[in-house]
Amino acid sequence: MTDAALALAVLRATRAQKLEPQDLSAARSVAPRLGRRVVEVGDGVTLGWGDGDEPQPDGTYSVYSLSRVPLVTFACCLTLCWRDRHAHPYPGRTTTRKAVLSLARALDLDDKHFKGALLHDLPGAGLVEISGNTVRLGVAIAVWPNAQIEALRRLRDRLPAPTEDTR
Amino acid sequence: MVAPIARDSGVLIDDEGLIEVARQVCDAFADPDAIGGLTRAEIQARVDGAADPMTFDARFNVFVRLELLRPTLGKKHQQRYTLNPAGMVGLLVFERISERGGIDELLTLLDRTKAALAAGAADPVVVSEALASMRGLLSVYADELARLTRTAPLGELIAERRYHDHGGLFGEVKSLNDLVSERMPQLDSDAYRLVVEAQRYIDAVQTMVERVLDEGGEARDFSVLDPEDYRAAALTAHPDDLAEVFSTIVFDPPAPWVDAAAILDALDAQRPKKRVRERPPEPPGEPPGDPIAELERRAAAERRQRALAAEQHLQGEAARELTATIRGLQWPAAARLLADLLALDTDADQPYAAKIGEAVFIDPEGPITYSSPLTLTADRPELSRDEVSRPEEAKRD
Repeated sequence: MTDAALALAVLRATRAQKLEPQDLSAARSVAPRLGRRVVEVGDGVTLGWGDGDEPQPDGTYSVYSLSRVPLVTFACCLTLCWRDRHAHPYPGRTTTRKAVLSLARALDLDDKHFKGALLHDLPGAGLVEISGNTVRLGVAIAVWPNAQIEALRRLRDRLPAPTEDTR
Repeated sequence: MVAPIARDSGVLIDDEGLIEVARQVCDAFADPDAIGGLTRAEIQARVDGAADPMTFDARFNVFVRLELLRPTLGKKHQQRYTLNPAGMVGLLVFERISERGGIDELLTLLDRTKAALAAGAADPVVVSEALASMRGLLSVYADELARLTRTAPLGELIAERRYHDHGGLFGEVKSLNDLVSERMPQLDSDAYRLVVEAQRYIDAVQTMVERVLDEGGEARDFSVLDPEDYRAAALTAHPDDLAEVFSTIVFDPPAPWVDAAAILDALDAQRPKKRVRERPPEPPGEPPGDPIAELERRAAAERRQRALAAEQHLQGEAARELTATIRGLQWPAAARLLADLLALDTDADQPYAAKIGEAVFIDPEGPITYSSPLTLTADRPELSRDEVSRPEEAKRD
């Protein structure tokens, strides 16, 4: 197996990894041919989709997506972690599980379903990272298409507003 | 009986494809139109495709020599043959052994021996010989399985394994042992030795299966188990055991697609817009008064209106025939007039009466199809026109 193939397989399997310089260089050169791009996250890199190569949910194939509760939970995390809407949401600020729960309750989200989404669905999808009581946005946000980020900027008023105890 | 598998008078075939010729020859005689026998040409026509002409001729001659096919008449150059039933049975036995191995024959002997013992019809010599046969067969199989487990490749072991899938064998041997101990105690030691060999055979099967599973698992050879075994494992095995299968397989982590539209749609679904119901505005109009008094006022006005109409019809007379008037009206004006007159008739406070005659006028073409004579009468003192139009003022005056 070539260095590039192994590096890309490692990035796909681990979601984010620190690579040796030669592996990183090989991955960067090969990724565009696969419709991918290598994005730096912290002291490592992750693999995103190339511009125009991301999945098209309205296309002729079905795409795995989240259900309502995980999406609403993620919207609460996005509200609390993405305070500066002019900047990229990743890495954003950290928040607490309690703050996210408070915002979720304000939206009438059931506690049991919310916890399942926050502790399992969203970390599994790489959308958030949980470390003890701390919640931050995950590496999947680092490779979010710019079009999606721009859409959320324009429609930020429709995201949940922070409550008094989460400001 | 061995004709189907004999290459010649004294040698067995070494090509299993030649068994198909024997099978098709036997099938040829199973047709209803084979009654009375078949000629060589007819037989060859029915096995067409199983062998080339030269092979068919060779097999046909073997079948005739070993009397699988017998001429119907003992004449030379006899052209019609019948099938020897023993040969057909031999083919069935050979096919069954090929399919299921020899353990089925042991089970058959075991069942037969048990049945005879249970019925009290068993001969001790026969039972002793049966126990010895079964013990010998199990011992041979145990040794053979041990040899295969040590030396045979995985594929051969997997093929051999399907011949030894008899989960209830030891139970059957045990129950036979109990029967022998009860009915023929003099053969108790022979039955016990059978149990020991059965246990040795089962241990040999277990060892073979362990090697199949170990090597097959490492080689990811899914032909190791039957499809039903995989299905049973999927339904009953512990999730950790099932996950272990993929412990060295690399997967992409979940990557659900999340976009702005999906997030906003989910938020809208979570916060449905609440529709507030507003009280409708009060209609403009008179301030509400006494509704009962209002009803009474309206009823009195209607009664007065009917009385005025009746007086108009009477023209000051005490009685007047109104049949022509009603028949001259259109429908529903005629019905309204009739209803008003009848209301006056039933009102005890009114001096009017409406009498309807028994005759019936039928006019299919007219607006009123059916009508009867009607006379309006008034039992009242004559009133002036002023009193009729303004009765309140007249009373004051």
